Amino acid sequence: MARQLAQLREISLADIAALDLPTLKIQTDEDVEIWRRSRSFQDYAIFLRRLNESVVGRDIPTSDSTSSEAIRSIITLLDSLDAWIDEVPPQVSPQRFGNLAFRTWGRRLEEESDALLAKLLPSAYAAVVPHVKPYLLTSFGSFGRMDYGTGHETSFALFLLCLTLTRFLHPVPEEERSIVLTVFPRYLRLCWRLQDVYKLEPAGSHGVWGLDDSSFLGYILGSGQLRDQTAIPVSAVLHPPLPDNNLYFMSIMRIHQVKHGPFHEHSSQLHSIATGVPNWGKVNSGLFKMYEAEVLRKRVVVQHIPLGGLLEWDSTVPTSIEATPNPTSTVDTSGTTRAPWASSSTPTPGGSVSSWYSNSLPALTARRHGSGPTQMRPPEVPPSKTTMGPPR
Amino acid sequence: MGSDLDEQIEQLKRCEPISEEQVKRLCLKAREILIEEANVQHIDSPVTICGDIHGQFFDLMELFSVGGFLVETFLLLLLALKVRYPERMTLIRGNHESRQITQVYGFYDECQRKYGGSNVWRWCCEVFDYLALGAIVDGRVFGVHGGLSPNLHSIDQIRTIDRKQEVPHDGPMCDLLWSDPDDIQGWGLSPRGAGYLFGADITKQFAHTNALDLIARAHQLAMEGYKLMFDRTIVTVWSAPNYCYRCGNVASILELDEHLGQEYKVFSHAPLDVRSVPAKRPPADYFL
Repeated sequence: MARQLAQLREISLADIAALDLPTLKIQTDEDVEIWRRSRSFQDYAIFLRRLNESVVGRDIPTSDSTSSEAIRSIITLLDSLDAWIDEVPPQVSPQRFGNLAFRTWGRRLEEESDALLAKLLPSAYAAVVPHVKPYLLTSFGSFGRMDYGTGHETSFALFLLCLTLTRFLHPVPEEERSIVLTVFPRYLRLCWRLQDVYKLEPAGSHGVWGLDDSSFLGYILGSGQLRDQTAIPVSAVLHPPLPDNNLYFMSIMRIHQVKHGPFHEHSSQLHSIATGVPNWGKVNSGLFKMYEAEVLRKRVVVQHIPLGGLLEWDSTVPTSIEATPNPTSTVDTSGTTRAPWASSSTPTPGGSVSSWYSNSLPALTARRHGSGPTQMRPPEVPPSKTTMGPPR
Repeated sequence: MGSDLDEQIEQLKRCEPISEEQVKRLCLKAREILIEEANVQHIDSPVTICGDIHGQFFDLMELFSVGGFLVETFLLLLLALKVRYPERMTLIRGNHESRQITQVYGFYDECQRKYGGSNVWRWCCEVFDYLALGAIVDGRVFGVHGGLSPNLHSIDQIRTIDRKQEVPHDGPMCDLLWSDPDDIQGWGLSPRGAGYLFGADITKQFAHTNALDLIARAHQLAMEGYKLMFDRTIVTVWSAPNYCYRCGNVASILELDEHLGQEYKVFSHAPLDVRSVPAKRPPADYFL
């Protein structure tokens, strides 16, 4: 069904030299509010909404048949990164989590990212390289904490957004479809391999109460693929094996690969969705809301996102909105818990959601939201006794 | 409260939630009991020591029979048992028993979803503030969740801590709940960002100073269920099998007999047939 979709703005290559380079901007809960009302947030909302619409009723193609040169070169880049895993084997080590070889892989990414991007992008895009590099570098996990989570996945999506704002990728349905159905599955497979080979921990997992230990977008976009049909019910996911023509199914099968035990126990949210949500349209819109509330509005996740430049750090509306108290946090599930005040990611249950999950224009409105879960606020200044070493 | 309590215990053992009002009363009662306990509780052998359970409810039931991730039901069951049998069970505080951590790793989410508000979570956190920091068996085996602290040389020093508070971000109380033994000399920074790493020298010195045979702690996954280190002066006891459904580890409990002889009872995750039937739980509000 035809839906009105907002256009994604274009940033002219001629203007890029004058832009600031992205840096870490989000430190406080107030900053999260600024981000939520910023143009970059709005751009990202439009981008995801468009990606979602582009794949409604579409399967992941069985062969990589894209006519887009840009898409092919992104796949080539991801293939190179994947090949590095073979060249940087995991160290023989008693450590069960976080193999130190991941840092070697990461160092190589840092050292070669300029060359990779120069190869990816035409020479006219030279000025774009330093703007997109920070997003690429944070797309595959944290080399310090040796973990991977939804924040890293978001970085990769923002990398693709930047390439689209500058029109290396084009915001037209065919290319958007290739981003979702060709690039994104390739990215997920690379990340899964990194997680498996280097034993990365899930960053910011809520244990069984989160949607998934490490990723989110596959569920949104996969439910988008199924949105307007009824032949495959939402409950179909309870009966694996599932075909690999859909990102939601792929994500569920990944869980079965890494977790053992009753699905309703280790993946209670997904189980509740499968048994309690009547159609894929509701799944899709619900996941958009959940992604905003539990990823994009969590300070501990988005504090790691560089902003400014292509992804403008400005306030589109006055900043006098009350901040939501937000517990700090980090990561766990593998044997070591890290102190929340030491690094990344968290829940603030409740809280409202802006309008971008609606099926039309994502009008960005300033909006007050419910207070956070508790009367308690995390300390403003975390103790700094934290050189992040390898978790054990 | 006696028979009432027995009924609640039976209910919780079946993994059925009790009412919010019952939770409130239970938490108040638990607090009354815990407030009387010392920072380091004295226990007489024989005793069974368990490490992290991480709310794996059905595995806890398995654990009880040897010797789900339903943290809230599970916690309430432990509290109910504590209230019912205060002399027969000692609960000590772990790093997860804090407001901040429970908001991060799911306990808060679970209370919200089951009770539709944060009251239950709040009452439970108030109970956490009263949990003992350690226990000592026959004066010779020291039980603590995490490990040692550079600020604490003797067990007597632990007794002077004012423990009735949220776990601080640093300092001795934090270290007891967060530190890990490691193959280093002396003290090291912890990759967790809280507590410290401590080596064999530190461990042996502490054991010597306090005339201990053994320090029993949890806090780290041990694939074989337990791990002895530093010439058997310290052991990690881990009681959550197949941790996070991902790790494929076995778990253990440590039984100390009346002569403090150690027996590690290893067990694996509960068989599927004793586990929960899928609860018909409505999806989160996002999907309404």
